[in-house]
Amino acid sequence: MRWARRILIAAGAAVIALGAVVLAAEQTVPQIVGVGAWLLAAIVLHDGVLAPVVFGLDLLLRRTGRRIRPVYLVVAQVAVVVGAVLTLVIVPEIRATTIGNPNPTVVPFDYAARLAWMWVALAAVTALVCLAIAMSTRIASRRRP
Amino acid sequence: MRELLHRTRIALTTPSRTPRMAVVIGRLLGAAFLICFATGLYSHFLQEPLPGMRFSPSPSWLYQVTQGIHVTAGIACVPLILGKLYAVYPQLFQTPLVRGPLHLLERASIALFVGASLVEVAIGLVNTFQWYPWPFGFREVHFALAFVVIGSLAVHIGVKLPVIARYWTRRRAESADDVEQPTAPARGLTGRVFRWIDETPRRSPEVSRRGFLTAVGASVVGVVALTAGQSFRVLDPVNVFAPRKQGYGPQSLPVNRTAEQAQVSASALDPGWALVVTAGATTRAFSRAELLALPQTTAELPIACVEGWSQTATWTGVPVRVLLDEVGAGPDAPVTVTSLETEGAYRQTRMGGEYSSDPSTLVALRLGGADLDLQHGYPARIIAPGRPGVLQTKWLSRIEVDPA
Repeated sequence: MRWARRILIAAGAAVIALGAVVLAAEQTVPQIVGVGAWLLAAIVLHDGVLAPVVFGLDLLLRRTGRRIRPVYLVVAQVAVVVGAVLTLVIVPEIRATTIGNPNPTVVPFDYAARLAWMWVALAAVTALVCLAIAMSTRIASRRRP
Repeated sequence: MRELLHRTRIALTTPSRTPRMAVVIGRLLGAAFLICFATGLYSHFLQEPLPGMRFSPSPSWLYQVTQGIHVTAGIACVPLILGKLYAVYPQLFQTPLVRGPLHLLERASIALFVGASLVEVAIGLVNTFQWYPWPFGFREVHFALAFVVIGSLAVHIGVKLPVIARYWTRRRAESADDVEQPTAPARGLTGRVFRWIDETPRRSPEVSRRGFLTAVGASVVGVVALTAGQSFRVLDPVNVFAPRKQGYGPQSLPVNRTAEQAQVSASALDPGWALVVTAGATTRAFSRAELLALPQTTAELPIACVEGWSQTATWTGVPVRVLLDEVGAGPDAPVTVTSLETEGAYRQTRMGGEYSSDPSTLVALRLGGADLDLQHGYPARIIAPGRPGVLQTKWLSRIEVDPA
């Protein structure tokens, strides 16, 4: 395993260096500084903003949901995660449509409305799943002697 | 400070944040990265081949599939990357923060890996919306960062290999899940905050783990299913969020660059237009009527964009090799194709002999049984099997056989 690790780390470092060379060869200094700023901003945005917010929301949900069975909380959390990820992907697209594109076949739809409908559909599916769980639990408890 | 970091780390610990989970999600993310890298390199070398590189024009749908997979796998990376970072987030607060030069290097390599991966996926996604809110060249930086991401992945696997091996199978991982406990109760504000956190009910590990995996899985399925219809026809009915839609555009086909954007509306509609074909000392000019009088071929070929969307259409026109024959060049001569565009990175493209000799590589004049729309390259465009859309030059002006 020691040799495998050494080879992976050495090869990886070489490929990173190749990336740096390609970047330096094709971009001006201000552009390279821009890339650096984007890399740093991405780390700060995730580790300093997004992750603490997710942790805080998770904590609040767990505390306010003490009287609810964990399974319903999990269903709600799954729905929130799916909705949040889709929103994260679609918001830049909505921004692209507001800027406008002279080509009418790029971003041709009203993505904001579609996103809103997606949340409505997600809420409906979540409610149905919770209802199904509740009904199956009731049936199971009736069968028990 | 050390106490705060330690307690933060424990507060963040949940049954879904285990090394086993990091390995499970990491495997999927690593596979997605490798798929994106391989398909991305293929797309890059199709556009900028190294000397001696030759590609196969068949199957004609090959580029459509590789680039569709590239963009779809890239979109799938969004929930995977977030899930992976969620699973390892407590590691950010390990104590002590840095244990020595090697540990500092390891943490720095992870920071580079995380930053490069997030930026690579984000700019790739936003590029498909044709929005460029950054101060650098997209194509160049996306290409360079791909090496940084894959190199960092290799370093990361190298560093974590013992952990990866230990948690690779479920059985080996089961005995190893341990949760740290703080030594003494914290005082002051820190103590109050963490007591409040500690009082939150802990869920059963199984429900928590399954819930987390379901959330990541459902998000991947969601983003892929609702966008991949732009590349894969089967998913077209549920294409709700992709920036392109099959059948949407002039002649029911999307456009990547309009005639107005390319500033060719006047020159393309000029009645005096002629396609100039040159081989050495021989030059011939063909009007559109003359091209239509030559033997016509009809081919079902996809148009597949680097941005991931693709659609198959019926093209009719003169095979390039027929035109090469007209000027006395060999059928597999490499050619340079020039557009009426006066500027732009793709106003001129090179085509290797493997494409110019293919019977379905056409100077297309008609699309779906009607004259080519101005937006699709009227009076004539190139359509070749298995080439990126940016190389399917529109509004043709010249075809020159490259000097031997």
